[in-house]
Amino acid sequence: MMSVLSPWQRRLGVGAMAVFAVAAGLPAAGLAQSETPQMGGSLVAVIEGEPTSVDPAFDYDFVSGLATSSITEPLIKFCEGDTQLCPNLASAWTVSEDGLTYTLTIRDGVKFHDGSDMTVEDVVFSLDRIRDPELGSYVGWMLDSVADVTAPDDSTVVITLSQPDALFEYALASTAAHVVSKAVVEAAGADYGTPSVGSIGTGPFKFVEWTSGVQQKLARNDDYWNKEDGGPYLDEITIKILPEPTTRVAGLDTGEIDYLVNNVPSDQYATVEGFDNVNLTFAPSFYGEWITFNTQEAPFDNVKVRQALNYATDKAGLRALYWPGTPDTKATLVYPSMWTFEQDAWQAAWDVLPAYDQDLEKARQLLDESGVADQLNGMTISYYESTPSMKGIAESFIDSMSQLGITIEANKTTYQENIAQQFGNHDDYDIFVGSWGSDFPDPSGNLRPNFGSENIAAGGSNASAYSNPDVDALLVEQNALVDKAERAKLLIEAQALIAEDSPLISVSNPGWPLAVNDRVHGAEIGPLWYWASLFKDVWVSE
Amino acid sequence: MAGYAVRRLLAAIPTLIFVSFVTFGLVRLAPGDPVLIVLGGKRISPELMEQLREKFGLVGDPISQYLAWVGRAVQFDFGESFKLRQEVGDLIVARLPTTVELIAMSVLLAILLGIPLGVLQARRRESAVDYAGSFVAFIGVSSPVYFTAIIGILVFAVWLGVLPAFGSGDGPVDQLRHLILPAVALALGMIALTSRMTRSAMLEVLTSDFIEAARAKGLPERTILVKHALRNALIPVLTVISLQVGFLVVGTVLVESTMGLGGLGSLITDAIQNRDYPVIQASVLLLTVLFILLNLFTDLLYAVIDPRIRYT
Amino acid sequence: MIVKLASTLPAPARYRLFLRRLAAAPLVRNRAALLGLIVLIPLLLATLVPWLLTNADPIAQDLSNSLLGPSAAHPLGTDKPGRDVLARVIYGAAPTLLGALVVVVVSGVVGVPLGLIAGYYGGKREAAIMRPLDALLAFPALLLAVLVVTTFGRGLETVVLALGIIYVPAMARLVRSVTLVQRNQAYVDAGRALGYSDRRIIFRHILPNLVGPVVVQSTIDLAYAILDIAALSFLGLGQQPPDPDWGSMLADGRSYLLQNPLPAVSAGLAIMIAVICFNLVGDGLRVQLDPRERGR
Repeated sequence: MMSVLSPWQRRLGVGAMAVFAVAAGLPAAGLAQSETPQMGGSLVAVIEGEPTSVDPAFDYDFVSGLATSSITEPLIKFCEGDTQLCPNLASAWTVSEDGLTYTLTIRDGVKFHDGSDMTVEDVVFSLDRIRDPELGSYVGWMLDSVADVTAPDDSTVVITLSQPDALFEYALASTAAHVVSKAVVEAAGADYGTPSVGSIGTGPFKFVEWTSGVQQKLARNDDYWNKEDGGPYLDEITIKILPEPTTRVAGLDTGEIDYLVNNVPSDQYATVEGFDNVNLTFAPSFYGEWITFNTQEAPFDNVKVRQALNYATDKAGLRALYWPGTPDTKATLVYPSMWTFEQDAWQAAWDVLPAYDQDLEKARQLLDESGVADQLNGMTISYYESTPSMKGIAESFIDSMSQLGITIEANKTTYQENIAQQFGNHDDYDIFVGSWGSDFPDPSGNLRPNFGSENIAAGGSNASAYSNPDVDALLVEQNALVDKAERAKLLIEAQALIAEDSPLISVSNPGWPLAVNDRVHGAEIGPLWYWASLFKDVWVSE
Repeated sequence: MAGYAVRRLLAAIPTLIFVSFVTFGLVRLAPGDPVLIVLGGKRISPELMEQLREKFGLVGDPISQYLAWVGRAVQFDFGESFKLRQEVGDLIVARLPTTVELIAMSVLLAILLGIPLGVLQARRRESAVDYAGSFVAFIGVSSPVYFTAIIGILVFAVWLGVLPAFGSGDGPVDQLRHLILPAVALALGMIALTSRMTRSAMLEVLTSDFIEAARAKGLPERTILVKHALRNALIPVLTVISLQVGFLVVGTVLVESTMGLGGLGSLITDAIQNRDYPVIQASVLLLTVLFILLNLFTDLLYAVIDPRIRYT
Repeated sequence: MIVKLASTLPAPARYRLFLRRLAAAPLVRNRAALLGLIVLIPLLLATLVPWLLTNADPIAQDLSNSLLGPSAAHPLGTDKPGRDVLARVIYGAAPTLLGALVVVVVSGVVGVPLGLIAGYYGGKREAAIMRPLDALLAFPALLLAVLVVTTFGRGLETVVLALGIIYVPAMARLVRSVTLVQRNQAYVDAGRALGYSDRRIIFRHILPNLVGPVVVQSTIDLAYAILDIAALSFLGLGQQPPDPDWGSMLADGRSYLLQNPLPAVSAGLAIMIAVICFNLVGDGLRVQLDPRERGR
């Protein structure tokens, strides 16, 4: 019976139950598992590459966070399906009217793994450290609008911004606001976070060892400050490094892998579904895959060409092939999962957004009207196979274009070229298959990086080189606002303008896969799982 | 013999300079800004990028960059990995044992399986055993490592469930169990070549006069085969094995990432992928040194096996 | 080391002898090599005239017919985007086999003259040629290829050129060693005494002796080149999609090995069969051309 449901439907089913549970005032975990959590046991999780560091300052990828976010913790955290913010090391926080001053109450009685108390000095040190350009933190930009961090008393930290920043609050739930021990970091110097030194935090698990290229080991922190609402339960967590997708799938089957988040290969969902001992579920994401081109260069500066290419792409076919059951996309990167505020307004806007469903006739007609269709002939589509679907998108696009009598050639790039293309000068590709996922539960996290003209220059992520002064004005204006209804209005306006311009072909909004062995309970992820402490409430039945 | 070894080692210095220069040139000719790649789309200010360039020794003209690198390399300072934020020396030291174990196990398999197979084939020339052995050898030589590794996982880990699919295991016994699949996948080609070489070398020796003489003296066949024939046949066999170890090193690149073994091979592939200059340069150099030492070791081994060979 | 022909015979006679050895006692008696040759026929057809072997289009996608099992329409089933696997295996022969051929030709065109000069003249010229080549040999080969290809751009052309260069040192060493033996033969001294030019000696006396070993080495190199090209394409550096090629088919196919092993296994077997064939033929040639081996 299970196999009749697609993984996506199952997830929706689970989601619906969770909503029901909250409405009925029942603990959500109670519905998912009737058994009581057991203490002890160990778990093997797998990541696809060597982590960068266990220092939160350098955790800005999909592999470092499993360990890092179990060891150190942020001041506040994402909650309720990663759509809201909840207290964490800061038990409360307030924002001033002008949006410039954040006052945080730091929790009392929290201890680092070495037994020392976490103090406001540690908090101020941690934030200042991330902001310090000398450190070169990968998440330093998140605190760009911070002017000053102070500790007026033993339990208060005040952060002052230089300008209002609608996204700043979210940074406090990211690795940019993880609290490290001042004494430990200063003693370790440049080696902090490397395999030889590791890291010390307040989190549910302690760093044990890290064998380069092989695995990281964590052990339970018995003195964890927040044991009332659950774990940590597990004695030990081993995070193994395994780059080969097929071997990861084999490891799930043989039971050697207990926990696989995100790196379940997307073209093997059906296979994993078939394993008796594995549960595969999906969390909604803010992540999407798409096709784009430099909209300032011919022939892509012609809106008819852009719309024609959008109509030519078999988005529904690709979604059915790689992500059966995922929601349809429309001509926007603000997916329904990202409507974290003013949901009704976003829904109403969505209803009238164009979807550019595949229509080769329309594409042909638009190309004829444009009069520059012949310039497309012989162009290349660049992609990097970070997931099998990226290649699938490129190949399907080539196939669709050939049906329009246009030859497009594939240009499979390496990781480095891909990075250079997406974040370089945006002039070294014809057509580009890319992906993006907001780091915050906020629609602007997908709109501004991809469509704001300030992100066209080298280092920026506007791979369409899309520049529309009206859109820019709206995106900048909303960022300085505190009123969410007003922000939503401006963002929706920008979204409509972008959809009409068709600078990018939105193909999919795949969910995040989570595959766990039967014996693993309490494993849950949200759209921002890579910022989350994933193992706190996880337990295993032997 | 010591003098000979020293001379050989000195002669290797130009080779190392050549190899390091070519590697250096190639990684730097490649398109794309390594700092941009290391950051992988992470948002960093231009000042910080400049600072990183300086830290990574990417400022100034390539020749002085190279000389600076050589200057540090001769003191065994290979810099810090761009991507992994660790000393390259530490990284290599951490990764080397896995690769060495894998290669040692493969060589052991090649010797333990390849040589007896070849001897058997030579003794029963043109028998069914010989043909079957040749056939198996041809399949072994012709199998792509990456294919056999995956088929091995499928058959022995997933279907039969007798061996672990990946990883390196805890404790000696478990570690050995984890090494079986990758080592066999890696050694297949080498086993085949070793048996081929043993067979033909044995055939050559077995038809020579001194074996006839030994037979005439009435020595038992076993003694003739092992003490006289094999001993003489071993030199070409060893040459092939030592040359093959060079190929094994490359094979580990393909096997390690498939099997989730964090050895030197996967370190290098990741480094090439991430344009991690210091890691690429140091590890290619290390592999070359290993290769040279291996050749020297083989040559010295000849002298041990065959007292007629002397190095002065 | 491998071949010593009757060097004292005049050149035309040696060619004839070479040809007779090749044709008469021949391969035909070596059943394994014959088998290799026979299996090569369909491989060659697939390389040269793939359209004669299948009607299916190797590139046309059909997203609704993903990963089908074997059927009359698709004898080896379909791959992920619904393409005919058999057609892809057949059309995938050309890039791999022709690529391997180019690798060997490049290594021969560069390696033979270098080896000849080094072996014949010796001295400084030899050092100037062999030192760099030996250093190249010390390089981990596949890694060098990967480095070259990532530097100069992916694609079959770069892969083939990189491998061609990497194969040069082995070829040059072989040619040098054969030349060295020949140079010290009495007839070369005699030729010199008679005032023959170096050119005449090289072309009329030494070159003919090289044909055998070079042919054998090339055939065996072909087998290795196929493996190497497939490995590089497996790493995503060779033939670019959607054009079929065995290495990349194997790389793609392994992702759904547990769902439908046919695409990966077909490509893997195609590689193995081609390599076995060239190894068999190469081995047969060696036996045929090596007087020491013939008696065995």
